[in-house]
Amino acid sequence: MTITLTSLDNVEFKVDKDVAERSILIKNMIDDIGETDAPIPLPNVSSAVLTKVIEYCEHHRHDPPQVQDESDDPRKRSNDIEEWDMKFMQVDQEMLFEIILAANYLDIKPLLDVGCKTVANIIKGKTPEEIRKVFNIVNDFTPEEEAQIKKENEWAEDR
Amino acid sequence: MNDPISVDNAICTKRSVIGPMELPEILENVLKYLDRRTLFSFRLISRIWHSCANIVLEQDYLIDYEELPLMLLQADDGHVFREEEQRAIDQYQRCCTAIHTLTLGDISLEPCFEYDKTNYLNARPAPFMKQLRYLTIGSLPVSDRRGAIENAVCDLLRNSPVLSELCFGNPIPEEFGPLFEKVMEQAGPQLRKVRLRGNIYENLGYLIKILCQREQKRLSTQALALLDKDVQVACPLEEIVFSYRVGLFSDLEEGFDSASVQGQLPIKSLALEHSYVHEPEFEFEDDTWESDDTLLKILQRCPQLKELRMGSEFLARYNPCTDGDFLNAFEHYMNPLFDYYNVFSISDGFVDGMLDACPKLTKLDIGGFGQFQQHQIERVISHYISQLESLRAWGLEYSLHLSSQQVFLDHNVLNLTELDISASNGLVHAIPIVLQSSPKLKLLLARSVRVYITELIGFDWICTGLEVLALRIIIPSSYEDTDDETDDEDDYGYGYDYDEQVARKKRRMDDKGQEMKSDLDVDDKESKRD
Repeated sequence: MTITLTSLDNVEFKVDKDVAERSILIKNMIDDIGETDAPIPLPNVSSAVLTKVIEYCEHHRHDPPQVQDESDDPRKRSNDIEEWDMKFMQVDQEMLFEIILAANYLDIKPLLDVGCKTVANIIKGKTPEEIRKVFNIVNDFTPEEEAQIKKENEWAEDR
Repeated sequence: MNDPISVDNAICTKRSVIGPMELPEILENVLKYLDRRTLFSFRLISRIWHSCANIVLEQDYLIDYEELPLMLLQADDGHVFREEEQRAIDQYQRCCTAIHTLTLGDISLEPCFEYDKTNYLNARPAPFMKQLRYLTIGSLPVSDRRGAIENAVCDLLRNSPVLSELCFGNPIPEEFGPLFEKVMEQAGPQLRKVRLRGNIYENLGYLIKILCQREQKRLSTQALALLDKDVQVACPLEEIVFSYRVGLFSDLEEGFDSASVQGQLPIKSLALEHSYVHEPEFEFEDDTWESDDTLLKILQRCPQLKELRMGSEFLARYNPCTDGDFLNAFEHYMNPLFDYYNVFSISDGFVDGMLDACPKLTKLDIGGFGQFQQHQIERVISHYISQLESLRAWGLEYSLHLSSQQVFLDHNVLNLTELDISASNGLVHAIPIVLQSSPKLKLLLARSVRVYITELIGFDWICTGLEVLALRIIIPSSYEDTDDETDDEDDYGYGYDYDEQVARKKRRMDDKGQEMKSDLDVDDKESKRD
C-alpha cells in the first residue's frame, strides 16, 4: 500500500505506508481517516526537504520503535550518531534546520534527535559570541542582566 | 567528522523571522546534548537561550515537584499513566542520582522516597538524598497526617548526610513546633543554615530548645575543652540565618520571653522591623511603644550579631525605588506625629547598651529608623564605622550632617563597601568626603543628597571601584545658559539625579583613565532623557 504526500510546492511523493508511518503525524492521520488514496498535504515541508526526509525514513523503515534510553547518565550523549545518519546530515546549515523543523512537524523523533545531536556537535566548544554569529542571534540582554548571569555562572562553577 | 558548517561560511542572512535556534522546542532538544559547563556559558547568548538552558539544567539537577507523589501512589492500583505523567516519572528517576537541590511543593515529601510498587507505605529514602545539599520544604500541611509527616521529615534528614541548608518556605505553624524540634535533632552537624520564616512567637521557642539540646550533645561528646571558649562556638548551628519581621516592638518582648529559656542566641542576622507605625492611617495606640528596653534586651541576647536592621518595614519597602525627597517629606510629616503621641524615643542609654551588646556588627541598616536623634546617629556611626562593611542610613535627616562627615574624616573607613544615605540632609561637600575616605566603596546611594558637579571633578580616580552610584548633581546656575523666566527655588541651581545605571555603564566601559568629563556627558544625557 502506498501513500501520496504533497509538499508545500505541490510536488507529489508516493511512499510505502510503513515508510510514511515513521512520521507519527502521518500515522495518526491515517489512523484517523482510514486508508485513502487522497494525497496527504504537508504544507510546512518543501519538496527538497521532503525528499531528504523520505530518504531517511526509507533507510530506517525496519528500525524497531525507539525505546526510552535509560542510561544512568542524566546528560544525553551526542557522539553516538550512526555512520549513515552522520553522512545523511552532512548538508548545509539551512537544510539541516529545515530537516529538523520538518522532523519536529512530522513528529519523527529519531530524525529530530539525530538532527539536534548534529547541531549540538557543531555548537559544542564555541563561545556565545560565535554562536550568535553563526545563527544570527541578537543579544537581547541588558548589560545588568548579562553581568548577573556571568555572576551566576561563576557561582555555578564551584558547585 | 567534518563539520558541515563552520563559523566562517555560515549563512548569516538577515531575517526578520526568528531562526530555528530561537524556537524553544528545537533549542531545548539541542541543548540537552550539551554538558553543564557549556550550558552555563550558552545562557549568555540571548534570553531565549537563557531560559532554554535553564530548563535543561534544572531538569537534571533540580526537582520541584508537587504532582509526582500522586503519580507514584497511583502506580499501585494498576493505573496506566498518561504519556506526560510517564515522562515526568522517567525524568525524575533518570536524574535522581544527580539531584542536589530539592524544592518541595505544598503537600509532598514523597518525592524524597522510593516506594514499593506493591505497598507504598513501605518507603525508602530516594538514592539522591545521600548527596542532597539544599532542601526547601514548602509549607507543611496541617492535617491528621502529622505523625506520618514527622516521621518522614526525620527520615529524610537522617538520610541526608551532606545537607547543609534547610529552608522552610512558609511559616511553620505553631503546632509543628514539636516536629521542628524533632527534625532538628536528626540533622547532622553539617547543617549550617536553617532559614525560617514567620512570626517570632512561632519559631523562637523551638530554636532555643534545639540549640540547648545540640549544645549538650556536643558538650557530652567533645569533653569540656569547648567550655573555655565562647559557648556559642560549640553550637553547630552557629551560622543560622534568622531574620524576623515583627508586627510591633511591643510584641517582640512577648515573643522573646515566650521562649522561656533565657540566655544568648547565636543569631547573626536579625531584622527588627515595625510594620504599622509609619503608615499615615495608623491610629497610634497608647501602649504601642513604651520604651526602648525591649529592643535592647533583644540585642543583648544576640552577641554574635553581624547584621542588624532596625526600622520601618513600610519605608524599607519603598526605599529602593523612591527618591530621597519622598523619604524626606515623609519624615517631616511623621516626626510631629511621633512627638505628639510621644510614641517612641530612643534614649542615650539604649545607644550605650547597643554599642555594648553588639560588638561584631559589620552590616547595619537603620534606614527609616527616625527615632534616632542626631547625636545618637553620630555616635552609632562613629562607633561602628571602622568595622562596617555596609551602612544603610537612608531617610535619616542627620545621617550625613556636618559632624557625621567628620566621622568619615576621622576614622578608618577601609571596610566599607556599601553606603546608603539617601535623603540625608548632607552638606554639599559630604559626597567628596565620603568618596575620599572610603576607598573600597562599591555602592553609594545618596539620592537627593546634593553635590556640586564641580566638587566631583578630580575624584574620578577615587571612584574606580564604584559599581553603583546614585547622586543628585547640582550644576551651578552660572554654568547653565537657560531661560531665566522664573527663579528656581533651588538656590544651588539645577539638581539632577545621577542615576545608578550611569555608574554601571561607566563601569562597563571600564576605561581606567576615563575622565570625569565624559561621565558628565553621559550623566547629562541620561538626566535629560528622564
